[in-house]
Amino acid sequence: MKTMNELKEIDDVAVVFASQSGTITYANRAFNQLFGWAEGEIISHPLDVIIPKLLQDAHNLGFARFLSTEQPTLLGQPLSLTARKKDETGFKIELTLFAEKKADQWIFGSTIQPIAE
Amino acid sequence: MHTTLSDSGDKLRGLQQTLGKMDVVLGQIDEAIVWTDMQGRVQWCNQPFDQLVGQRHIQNLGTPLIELLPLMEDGHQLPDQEHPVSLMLARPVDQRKIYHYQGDSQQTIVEIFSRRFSVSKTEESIVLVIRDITDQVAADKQLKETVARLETKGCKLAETSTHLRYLIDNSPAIIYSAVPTGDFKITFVSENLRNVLEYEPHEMLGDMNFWIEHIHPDDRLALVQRLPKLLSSGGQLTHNYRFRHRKGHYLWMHDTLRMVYDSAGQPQELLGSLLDITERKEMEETLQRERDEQRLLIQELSEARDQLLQNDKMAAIGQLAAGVAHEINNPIGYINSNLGTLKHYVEDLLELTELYQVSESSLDKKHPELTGHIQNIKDRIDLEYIKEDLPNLVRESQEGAERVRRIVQDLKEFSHVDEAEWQWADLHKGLDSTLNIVHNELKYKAEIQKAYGELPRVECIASQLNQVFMNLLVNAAHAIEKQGVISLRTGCDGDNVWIAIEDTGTGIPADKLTRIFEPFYTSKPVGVGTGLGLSLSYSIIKKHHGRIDVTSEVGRGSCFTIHLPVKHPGKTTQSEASNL
Repeated sequence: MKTMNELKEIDDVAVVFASQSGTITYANRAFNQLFGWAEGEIISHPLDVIIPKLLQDAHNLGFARFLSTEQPTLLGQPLSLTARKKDETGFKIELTLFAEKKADQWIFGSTIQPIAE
Repeated sequence: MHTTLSDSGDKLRGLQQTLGKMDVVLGQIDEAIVWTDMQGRVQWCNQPFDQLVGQRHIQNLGTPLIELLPLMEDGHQLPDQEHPVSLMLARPVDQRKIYHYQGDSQQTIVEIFSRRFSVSKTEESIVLVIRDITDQVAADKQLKETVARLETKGCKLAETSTHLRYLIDNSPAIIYSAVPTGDFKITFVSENLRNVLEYEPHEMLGDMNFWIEHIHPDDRLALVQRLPKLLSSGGQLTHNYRFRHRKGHYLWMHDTLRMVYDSAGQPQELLGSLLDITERKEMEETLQRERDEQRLLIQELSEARDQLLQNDKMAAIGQLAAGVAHEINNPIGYINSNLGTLKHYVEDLLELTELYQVSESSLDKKHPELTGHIQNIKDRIDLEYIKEDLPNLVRESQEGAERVRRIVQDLKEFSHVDEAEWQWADLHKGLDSTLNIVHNELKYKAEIQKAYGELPRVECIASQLNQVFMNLLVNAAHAIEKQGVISLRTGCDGDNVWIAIEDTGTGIPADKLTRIFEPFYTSKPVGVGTGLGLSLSYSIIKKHHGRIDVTSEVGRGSCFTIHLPVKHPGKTTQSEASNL
């Protein structure tokens, strides 16, 4: 399990952070390039912007479930998913989720790599 | 009203909490729930669904449900257009249907409820609730099979029960049961009560005393006495008794009674079976009767054989005696005759001698030398003594010859018993004449006391009975050592008469009493008795269909009592009688 600090040092793979309320708080250069966002543009957007519409309900439920139970089911393992670029196109990615609690607040981070179709 | 930012953050957190809980709760129900968009792609599913399709939750999300949930119907892959999702997409009509689902490792039977509905003003969704009913179907199937089996068994049981009932009712025995208490209330009795005893089963069931009252009075007590033991200590009891048939006659029943206990060991009921053994019983009785007759015959045969042996001996003795008697008879005849003549001659000669003696004095004067010579001879021969003794000698000789003649006569009579005939005789006369014959033997020993009763004439061979009387009288005299009493008593008892001859002699020890009628058994000194007297007497009385009883006490005396039928029940033939 990687720490948030370790994730922040990664620059060759897309990395994105979100707060407990589901707001994006950090995205590295590789992320912005992959998802088609300008530098700093995506900060403060909800996570929904990178999740296809179809999966948003499931995401909300899963997110709420983790916060309610604090029992991780998906953390630390690579997940094959569809993600959404800024231009709304979907593409296959492999995503690994990490979480860390700091001052009673959860911070979520993930590494994302595109999957060649 | 204004909501602050912090308020809305709290609200959001609250909603998140609720959503999280909902997700957990929906994972706790047994049914798999899956929710798709209007393209049939999975938007959300609960944990049971993930388990059903065997994929990670996250992988299911966004995947077309048709791919995740391939279904089968009637053994064939369900075409995509007939998949519940497709049906819902085509037409918003609720459906509940059973399919087979082929999972990775096993096939399950699922009941799928599908519904299409609006989740928001603009959005429609399809939800499927999937229930695994494999176990339930198996259980239902098993239940159905069990029910079918039970039904078959029930049928068979009913058949068996009918068959059993048929067997019981057609068994040769009457089967019954009764309460396990002393009052013997009959609770069941098989139908063939009707065939065997011609009573209706309900007659026996209704009346508590029916059973006891129909048992033959002579058999009732014995059975009733045996019942308490069966009631108290259990086991089995078999008893034969007569039971009254409806028509009044009695049938012999063989009753087998058994106490049956429940699982707790408490007496439950008495089970009995009654078997008609009348025929067997009659056969047994016939057999027994025949066996008795045979035993009697064998006994008689044995006695006859003994008697034949005895008769052979007696016949030999008889022949010998007859021969001797015949040989002696002639010489003793002329000895007797000559003795008579001799007596006359002696008398004549003695008379002449008297005359000569008278003429002696005149002779003396003429021929004195002659008289002297005569005197010498007279002195030498002691004429006076001869004159006195001669008649005595002759008389004694005659007496001796007479005795020899009588003995020969007796021997002849003894050996000529074949001349005896069945006749109606006065036994008192026989007794008296026998007493006279043996008087010589008795007179020094015993005083005779007679106490005759009233006797009818008895059909008998009198000479043989006299022989018995003689034997008993002589024995009585022999039993008396010095001086005693012989008493003769007679009497009549219905169709029988009795003659008792009692002495006050030495008596017979108990161990000898059983042997006294055996041939050649004697307690008398050698030469006194032959050992045949009582044996012969016994045979004679037996042939007269009578018996001899004997009571005796050592030191007090014995009493022989002869019992005879007045009328001979079946005469023995002359030749049989002659053998005695």
